[in-house]
Amino acid sequence: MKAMADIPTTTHLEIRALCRAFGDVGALATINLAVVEGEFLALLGPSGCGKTTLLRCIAGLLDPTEGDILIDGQSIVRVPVHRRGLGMVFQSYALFPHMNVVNNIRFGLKMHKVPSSEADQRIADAIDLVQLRGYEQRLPGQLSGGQQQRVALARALVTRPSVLLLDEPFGALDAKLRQSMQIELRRLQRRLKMTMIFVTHDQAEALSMADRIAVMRAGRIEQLDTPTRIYDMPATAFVADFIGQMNRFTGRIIGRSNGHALLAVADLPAPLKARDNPSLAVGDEALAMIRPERIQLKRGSDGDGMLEGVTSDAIFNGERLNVLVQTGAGSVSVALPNVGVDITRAAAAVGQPAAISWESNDLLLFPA
Amino acid sequence: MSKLPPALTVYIVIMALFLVAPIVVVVIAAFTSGDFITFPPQSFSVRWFDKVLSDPEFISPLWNSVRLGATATIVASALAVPAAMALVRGNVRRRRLIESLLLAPLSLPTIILAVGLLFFTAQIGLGASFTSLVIGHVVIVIPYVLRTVLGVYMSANHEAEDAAKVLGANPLQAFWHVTLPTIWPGILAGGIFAFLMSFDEVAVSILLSNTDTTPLPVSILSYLVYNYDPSVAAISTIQIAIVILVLLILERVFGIRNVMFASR
Repeated sequence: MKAMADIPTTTHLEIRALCRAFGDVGALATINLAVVEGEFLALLGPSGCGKTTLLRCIAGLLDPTEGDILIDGQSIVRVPVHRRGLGMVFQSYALFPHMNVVNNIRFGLKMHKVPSSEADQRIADAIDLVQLRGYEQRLPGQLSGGQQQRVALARALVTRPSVLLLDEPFGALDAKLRQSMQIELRRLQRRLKMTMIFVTHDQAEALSMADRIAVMRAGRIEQLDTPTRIYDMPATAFVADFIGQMNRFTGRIIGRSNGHALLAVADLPAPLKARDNPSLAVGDEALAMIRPERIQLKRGSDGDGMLEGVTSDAIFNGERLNVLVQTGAGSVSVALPNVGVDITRAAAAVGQPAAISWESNDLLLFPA
Repeated sequence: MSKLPPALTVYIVIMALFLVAPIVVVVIAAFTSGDFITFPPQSFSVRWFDKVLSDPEFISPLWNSVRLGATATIVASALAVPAAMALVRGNVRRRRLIESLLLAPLSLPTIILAVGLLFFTAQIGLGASFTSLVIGHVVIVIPYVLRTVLGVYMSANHEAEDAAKVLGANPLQAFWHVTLPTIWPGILAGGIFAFLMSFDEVAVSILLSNTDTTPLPVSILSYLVYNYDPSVAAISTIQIAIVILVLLILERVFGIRNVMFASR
């Protein structure tokens, strides 16, 4: 999906063993991270996981307790924030309320002493880039949220930063606008080939925009990978749970057979076959997870499903039908894509017996 | 305008009577042509204005008061602004304690402060000088500036300062281009209060002034001890006129109503 081949593999920004003590929330514990030239990297995690702390350390607005940050191989931790030459877009936009659009965008150029003829040209280009022609003389208070967002973006881009940092840039926008701004930013990023790091707690945003995602939890990076791999092959139970929906079973590993692990689940007559996880030994307690859309549902109980049960609920949300099946191993959520047929029939089957099955490789195992 | 309930109307009328009526009486009485303050005056003239405006006994205290008020306001602002910034943004220990300490002169009887300052300034060799007066007034008016600046600064978006720094502004530039314009209404509103408080202050002024630095309220008080002619009414009217003029100019230039309400 993402054009990874276009991205040169030279490291642009590198973070080495970065720590920051900061009470309990927002602390960082030994972060290592390498961002390549032109990459669009998402820092994703629940609030308090340290993603904003990390971003502010890169910007220079916070000092790390230990560790190093390098851009193009040069350490910048000792460089004060105003000499780092980075760009940043804040969740609150942080526009200067007493300056109009042009003067907001001009601010960085003025600080960098760009000659005014060149500055005027660059401001005009930036205004075109974010499609704000006609709004030059407005004050931030006279603009809509989306327009303010674009001014913030133009203001950050006009100084041609080596890396653009975005802190929950779309957090304050409504869903529709958020989506169109996401597409716009993504297009812009590809066009400018600018290295961007953006912080978000919205997994859908991270999945749809980023070249790679760093999933963070309690000051650590749990997994750093492409969106598809994060979604399909989560490294830990936390990542699996945080991104998308998961059904969970707990049990014990009782054996292995041709590449699969066998998981005994209480109240189930037969063990479940699952994708093997080498970090688990036979006899270990384990957590098995499967995504609702990887499960097939059959009406009736003709005996060839892996689990049998009774449908207890069906919730239609347009693009899919979510069916809850009560089985011996608990309640299992099944997502059926709305491809037109059978949806209404399946929805009508609440209270009827049903059988569910899946590919063994889709059932993922994690240490409990 | 909507109709006010009767109780509120009565309340407003009483308030206005007690607040405004004495001022109106003084102003009108100042225009008498007689030798004593009478109300209403039998005939009108500006002879008492002529008298006080040519009398160094009033003119130099008036100048002292303006000078003192302006200096105290500027010094207090210069101290209150960094204090407010540190209290809001800085990682300050015992934040509340420091804040209450700086605001304490609001609740402390000024006469106690004045007596303390009298001994203190005598002890450090300043004595009753203009500098001592400024110090005393600064202590008294700091809370007014601090409170309004704190209010504005706390509700301001602090990310704007961060944005300025990331865009290449050094700390001084960030303050000048972003912080100062943001808190300016607070400084202005607090500064107006501060100036008016200083202009009107008696306790510290009495104890810390000497014959050359007597501020106007002190000279009015001492004049009243031996005289009952309308000079006092005239100089008071001039004082009121100065205050109203200051407020009018600020209203014209900065929109004082916005400033006062924005700073809450």
